[in-house]
Amino acid sequence: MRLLEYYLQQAMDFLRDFLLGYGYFAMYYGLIITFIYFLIFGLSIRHTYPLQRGIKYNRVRKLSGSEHVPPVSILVPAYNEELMIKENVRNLLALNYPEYEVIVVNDGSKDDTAKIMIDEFQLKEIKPYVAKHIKTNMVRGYYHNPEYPNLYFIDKENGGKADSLNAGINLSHYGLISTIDADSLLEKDALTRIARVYMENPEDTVAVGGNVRIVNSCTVEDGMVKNIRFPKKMWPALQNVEYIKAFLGGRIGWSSINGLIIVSGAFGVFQKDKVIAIGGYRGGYPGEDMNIVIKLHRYCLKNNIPYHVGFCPDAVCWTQAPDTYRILSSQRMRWGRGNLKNMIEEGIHMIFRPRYKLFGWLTIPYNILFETLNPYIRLSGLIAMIGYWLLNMADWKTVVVFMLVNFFSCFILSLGALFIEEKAFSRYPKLSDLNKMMLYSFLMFLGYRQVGVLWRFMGHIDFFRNNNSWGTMVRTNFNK
Amino acid sequence: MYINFEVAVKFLYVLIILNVVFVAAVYAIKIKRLRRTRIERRFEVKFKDYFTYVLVNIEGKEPLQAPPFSLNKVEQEILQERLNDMIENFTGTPREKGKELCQRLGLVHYHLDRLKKGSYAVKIDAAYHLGCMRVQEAVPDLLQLLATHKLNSSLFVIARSIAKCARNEQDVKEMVKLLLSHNKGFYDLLVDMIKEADIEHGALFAEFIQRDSNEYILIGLCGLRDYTEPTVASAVYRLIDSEDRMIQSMAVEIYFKSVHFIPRNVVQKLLQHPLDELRVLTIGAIADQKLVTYIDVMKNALLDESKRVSAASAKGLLLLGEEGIATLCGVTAEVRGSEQGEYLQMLIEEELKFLSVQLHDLVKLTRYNSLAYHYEKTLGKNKRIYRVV
Repeated sequence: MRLLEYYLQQAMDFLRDFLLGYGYFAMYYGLIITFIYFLIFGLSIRHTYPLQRGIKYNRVRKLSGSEHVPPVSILVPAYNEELMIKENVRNLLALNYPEYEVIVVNDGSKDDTAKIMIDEFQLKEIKPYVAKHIKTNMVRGYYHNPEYPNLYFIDKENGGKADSLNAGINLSHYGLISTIDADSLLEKDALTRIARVYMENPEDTVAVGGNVRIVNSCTVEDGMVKNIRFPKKMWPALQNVEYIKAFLGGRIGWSSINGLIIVSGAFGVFQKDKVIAIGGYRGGYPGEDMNIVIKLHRYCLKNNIPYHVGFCPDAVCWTQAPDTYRILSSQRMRWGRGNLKNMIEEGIHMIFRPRYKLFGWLTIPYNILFETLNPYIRLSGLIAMIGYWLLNMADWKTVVVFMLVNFFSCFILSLGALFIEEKAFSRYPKLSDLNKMMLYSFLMFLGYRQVGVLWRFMGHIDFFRNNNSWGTMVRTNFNK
Repeated sequence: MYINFEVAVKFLYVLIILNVVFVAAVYAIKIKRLRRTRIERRFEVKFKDYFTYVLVNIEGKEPLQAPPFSLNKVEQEILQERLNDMIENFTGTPREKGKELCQRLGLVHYHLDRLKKGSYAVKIDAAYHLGCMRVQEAVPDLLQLLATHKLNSSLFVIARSIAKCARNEQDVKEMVKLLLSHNKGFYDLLVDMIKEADIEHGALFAEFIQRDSNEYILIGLCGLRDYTEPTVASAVYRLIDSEDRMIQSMAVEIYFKSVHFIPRNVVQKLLQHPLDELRVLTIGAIADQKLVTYIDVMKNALLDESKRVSAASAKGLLLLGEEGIATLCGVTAEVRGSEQGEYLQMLIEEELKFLSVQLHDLVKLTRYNSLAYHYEKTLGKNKRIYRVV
């Protein structure tokens, strides 16, 4: 009996020591992540002022008529996009940009995407010269109509988004390519705004990301966002504040130190020759938008090529956010899988390698430790909390204080993003919109962030089970 | 542990204060913005008659009068923006009268003062407005500001203002020299800014391409890209042999655009160039200028190792009349069975298919008949194609 008590005591002591050790680990983990968050947010806020000056004092309207703006090939991969493709293409054909082409790539859609494109724009099959920069799945045909001289349509076998983009690259005629999702709408001057950033440093700028905003509840007419409104439904509203925080609070700062790891697939511009040099988009897995940027960093750093991955927050692309739990969870699980795959495929080869400089010493470690492994830390933290409570290791005051510290240190980041939004852009005109943004920034902490961790964890499970499907995706018309 | 808890509580207080400060700041900005929007709306109503007066008299002889009422700070800013737009959008007399009105309103003096004495942000703001108002007196201070400025977006705001205010070519050259010290290849942006200057642009670009520095040559070439005068062709001719690939390809592009006849030695030299892009350009130029004398050259290019060149040559020959079409079909028949031959035949058949639905156009109808005839004669043994009358 005494022996049993002795071993039980030993086990309890071990558990206490372990939990105490874990507590220190979790505390330092939290401190480091908070420090990095604050650092990036500080940089974002610091760079808001020069950004604001760049936006205010550069006459974009005049630049959009200049013959010195670089021509761009816009690539639009489309899979089962029959509901939105027409509006999207009309939107793209009406951009204020001097020289560009729109290449829509139908990725073997099962619906009427191809038929709608061909009928709507009276396209005829052509046999153009197509470069073979990147290998792709079989192309069924290339279509064009001289009445829409800058519109091309590629109909190909299903091969995924990356494969479609690669097919578009092969056909493209210009030195810059822009990728745009078929469920998104570009603002008329978005491409000019991005081009301005590119023109300021064309030799080094290998990619520039645009800002993605949520179109749900906004009024769309003739492919243009007319009346900007804060989303009425809960899920899009939560994603709205999340996007503002990620794009304005995060990407401005990361880009200022050339550590940006992702250019959103919804809207970005790339130097075509660099994309070809790294073998184009990686197919077969989600997260191709992050993958291409990591590969660009890797290629340039490995070959000592001066480069910069920029971010242009005033170049806006409006996208439809999932408005149901099912679609949102599917999207986030896919993102989780993509992130894990990218870290396994690229990240571990770059982490803490001196040749990859800041990207290898800060961006990749941050991403692996605080993004990829985040669900494990969070879930183990929850279990540890239960352990502290059961073993009487923490009183309620300590728990409350630490939870409040956690809440306020995260909430201030949301406020920082709203500060940047209001200071530099103020896209939502009403005071009530700001009230809603404040409210949803607060509500994010009551379940949304937690469920986000769970989705990412489930995405990892899918990854290990080799579930590689795109998941649930339902499209609705704009204005719904 | 006790100490950690104390620290945590203190940290929490600091965080709460910071949160409150941020909330207040965000709402303050929003309220200020909403207030400005209201003032802007009131301004529209209040100034409606005044702007009608300005637009009616913008081309008249009488100088424009200042508004007949006093302006608060926000109204002055809005008026300044409107006048900036007016000066930017008009040229000639209306622009001069706009500038004169700014002078009369004291805006020029106000911004010159800000440029000299203000903080960094104020100086950039002043530089922008002085540029919009084309204030020549501002150039020395703007050049000084540009010389010490680091590379970011504001650098180009100052540079553009200098170009707009430039008193002469020398000011623009000084601005270009300062910008080139950053060595970042923004030639197109530079040219776009230079074109805002009230000087003879073509002469300046032509002077740049005569220099030894590749950077100046590239600026000159970017600037001359849309010029089509024959004098430009002779100016860029020597650069066709440049060792710098970028200079060479730009020079070739400009040369072809501005020349009326391409000498044989140039054609032969360029068609032997290792860059297929230059070979395609050359073939395109021959086709555009319909230089039938070079059909023999085009014939050789049909069998070029690059499919781009081959395709461009085939398309070019189609534009060179009966003789060009006959050559294309003849060469295709000669290499029949090879990969190259299959490719050329496919191009011809595609063209036939395309032309067959364009018969309402007389030129295309003629081309269709000619192509159909030669195709049938040389290649189309198994397929009969009828000519259309």
